[in-house]
Amino acid sequence: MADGRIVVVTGGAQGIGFATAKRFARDGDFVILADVKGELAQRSAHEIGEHGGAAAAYEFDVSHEDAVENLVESIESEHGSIEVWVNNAGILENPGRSSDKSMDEHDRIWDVNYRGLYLCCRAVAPRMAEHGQGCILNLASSTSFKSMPLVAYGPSKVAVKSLTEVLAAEFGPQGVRVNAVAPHATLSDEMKVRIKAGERDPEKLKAHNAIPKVIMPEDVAEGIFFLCSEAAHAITGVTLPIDYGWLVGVTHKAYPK
Amino acid sequence: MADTRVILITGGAAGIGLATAVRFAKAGDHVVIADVFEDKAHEAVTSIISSGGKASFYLLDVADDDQILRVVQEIEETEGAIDALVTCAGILQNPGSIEDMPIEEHDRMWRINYRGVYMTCREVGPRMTARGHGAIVNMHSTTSTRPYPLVAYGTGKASLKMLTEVLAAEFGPNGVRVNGVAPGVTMTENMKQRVVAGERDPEKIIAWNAIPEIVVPEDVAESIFFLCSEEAHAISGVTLPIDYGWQVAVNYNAYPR
Repeated sequence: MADGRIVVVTGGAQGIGFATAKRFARDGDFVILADVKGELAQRSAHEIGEHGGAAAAYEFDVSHEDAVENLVESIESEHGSIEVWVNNAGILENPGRSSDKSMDEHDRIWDVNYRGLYLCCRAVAPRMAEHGQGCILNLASSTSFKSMPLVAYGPSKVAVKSLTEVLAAEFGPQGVRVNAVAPHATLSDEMKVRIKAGERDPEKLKAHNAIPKVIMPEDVAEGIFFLCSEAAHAITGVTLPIDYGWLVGVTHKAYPK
Repeated sequence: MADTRVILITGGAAGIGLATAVRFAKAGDHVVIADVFEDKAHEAVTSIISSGGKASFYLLDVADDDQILRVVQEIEETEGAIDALVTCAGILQNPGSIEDMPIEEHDRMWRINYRGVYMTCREVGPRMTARGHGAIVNMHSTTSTRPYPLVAYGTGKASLKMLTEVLAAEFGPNGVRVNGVAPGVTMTENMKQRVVAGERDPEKIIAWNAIPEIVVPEDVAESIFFLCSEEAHAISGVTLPIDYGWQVAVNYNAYPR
């Protein structure tokens, strides 16, 4: 593995994104935290620097086409070719019924979770293809596979899995790999905020996991890091669940016995 | 994770099993190769030991229930508790129709590829759950999810994927993880012989991969090693394809245009 790859993590200021940035930085990669929360991204990049890692922060909004193009352009002109791009920026949804969901919230979730990710892939993948190498990693979800009462978030994550597969096929001949991870409910900073607000029950986060533990951002970061490593060079188009066995546990436990 | 884990690899004398044994030995683990091919297994063990690794050999035919019970017992008494089990023992099938395959060949394939794995997991899994930890990796295939003209091999591998999921749910509460890898057509020694014999066309093996390269045993070994590692502690019940994107490219490229 070349030392000091240039790795961009969208939504890298906190949660799974920040854990991922730290994981790459620990390995000697140069990580760029691109986040709508510019100040927080600065602080997180600074924290990585204090621990001996190399990091920079960029403020950008993934839902604005121009912002995405500009970000990619600035990073490549200031630092060089992007080798790994982690599409982590996303927003959560609380469980609910479709009739209770405003179309504004629905559209906002799709704008960020799917369209924003699409824009990033569209801007980055052709550049990687030109270089004949590169790795894109998307944040799918356990709801990419199975239904949950998340009427906007769920279908947006199914779309992410599907796009991962389409782009892996499209850019494979040029040596670009496109994969995804599918975490189940992860105890991220954002999830902690919702638990504190009484919107989520921490006990229920692990209730149906085969292994009764709660997934941490660092667990997801390890899966992302592996898929973007040289050890995974024959892996493309996959969506790797990181869920303590939720996908298998949920039906196994529900069977009448 | 303890320094020298004991790793039992069935079918570890050649192909993916051997590459897996070498990968674990490189990390300092004690690999136990259980195989029906005595000469090749001795060669493998000698080679690993001469490279500074730890390896042992046990003669095992996974088609024989009594042997499985006896050999697992012996291994645990002599080498120590098994920390990870990798079930590579399996046989290949050449493409053909349901009429062409003698039922004896069909039955033998199921006996080894499915029932052999079932029995091995049945013997090793409860020992792991009693200790509260352990990792199992089964050899699935891209044909675990998509049909090939492999009437016995394919159905067996599909069943194996389901077995992995059932056992991941069953053993999860006791801290045992069960996963599978799904290699695309891999250039093992066995496959090379079939290519030389004119039974398989190497050009066709890569023709539908997204990235036009051929999977080698070492590629699969890296993922097996990852799935058994501490880094993957939140991953259970998954099937990880290692196929240079065959699963995503085959339909993508078949689309009429």
